[in-house]
Amino acid sequence: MLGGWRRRRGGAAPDLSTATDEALLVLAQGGNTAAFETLVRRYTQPLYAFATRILGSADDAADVAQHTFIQCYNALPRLRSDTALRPWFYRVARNRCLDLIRQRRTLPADLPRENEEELDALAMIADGGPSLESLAERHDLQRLLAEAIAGLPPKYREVVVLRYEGDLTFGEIAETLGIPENSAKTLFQRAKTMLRLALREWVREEV
Amino acid sequence: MTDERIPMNGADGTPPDDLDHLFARLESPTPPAYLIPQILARTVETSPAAVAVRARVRIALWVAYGVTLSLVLLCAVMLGQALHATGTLDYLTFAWHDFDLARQSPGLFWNAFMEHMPWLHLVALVAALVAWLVTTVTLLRGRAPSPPPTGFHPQTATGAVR
Repeated sequence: MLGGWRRRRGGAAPDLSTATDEALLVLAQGGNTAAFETLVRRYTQPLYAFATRILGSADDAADVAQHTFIQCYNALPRLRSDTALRPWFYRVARNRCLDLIRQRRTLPADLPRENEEELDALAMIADGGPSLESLAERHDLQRLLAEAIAGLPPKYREVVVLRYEGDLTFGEIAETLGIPENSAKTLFQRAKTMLRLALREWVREEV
Repeated sequence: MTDERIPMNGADGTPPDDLDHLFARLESPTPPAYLIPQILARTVETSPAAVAVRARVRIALWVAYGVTLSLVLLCAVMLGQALHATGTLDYLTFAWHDFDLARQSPGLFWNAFMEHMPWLHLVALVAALVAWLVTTVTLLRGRAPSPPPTGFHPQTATGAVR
């Protein structure tokens, strides 16, 4: 079917890869399958990465990405043309992640330091400590960063992954998680404190 | 060494700090090669018209399943009644209890059996059973496929790979 569409449009078709999400959504709603395919190609990797960080399982992450696009495809006729697709995709993916976590019936363990007052106090210490630059040259940097994220409590991990992995704005994070923007910023700052404290351990190991 | 992406700034619009720079080096997990073709195969390559046709066929199959199952039950009851009415049931019961007699004169037994057997009812039951089996197997084969990551061949799933 897609091949037929391509044959019909010939070689003079616009380059959809540079089109905005909103434009692609409108085209997809009009039955343009290439527009939907462009969305799939644009968001499969970020959604897969998000789900992998949240769930820690490649198979489950693939399921989440697939589920998100099938949901989107089925919802196309009902979606408003001004829907912000990026947070919408992440919201659907997040809900699917939560479903899978519930199915497992085991929630990832929380860090002991989740007391908010204690975290704010620790932030003062963490901000004044040695720089983390030395970690950047470590050959196992990717593992350290992944472990640091995986060690965060779920609500902080979500914000960090959406920010660092998905490059979402705080407005988009807030929309994805259904929280006020200021709460998203606060969660992110606290998550950074936890990450800094976790990574400092490795800096100390190096010294 | 991994190239650093443009680091995200802090929550309050401050410039990126050392942690932001460090996480800008984070490499994203790469999705498996089959994933995009699989998603496309389950979305854009399934046209609404095809979905509607499949839905109608499925409804028709369920109706056929119900009808054939009812036919099987009806034919079974009718065969039972015919076996009883023609005396074949008594004949078979007798042969069952006194099998030696049937073994001594098999020709006689076979002829009597063939003569009394309500063949029409039996054929009707067998035909209904076959129809019910065919619809059941077709329904089972038409179930929604489960995710097939193992052994999935993307090139056969879509011709849309750029």
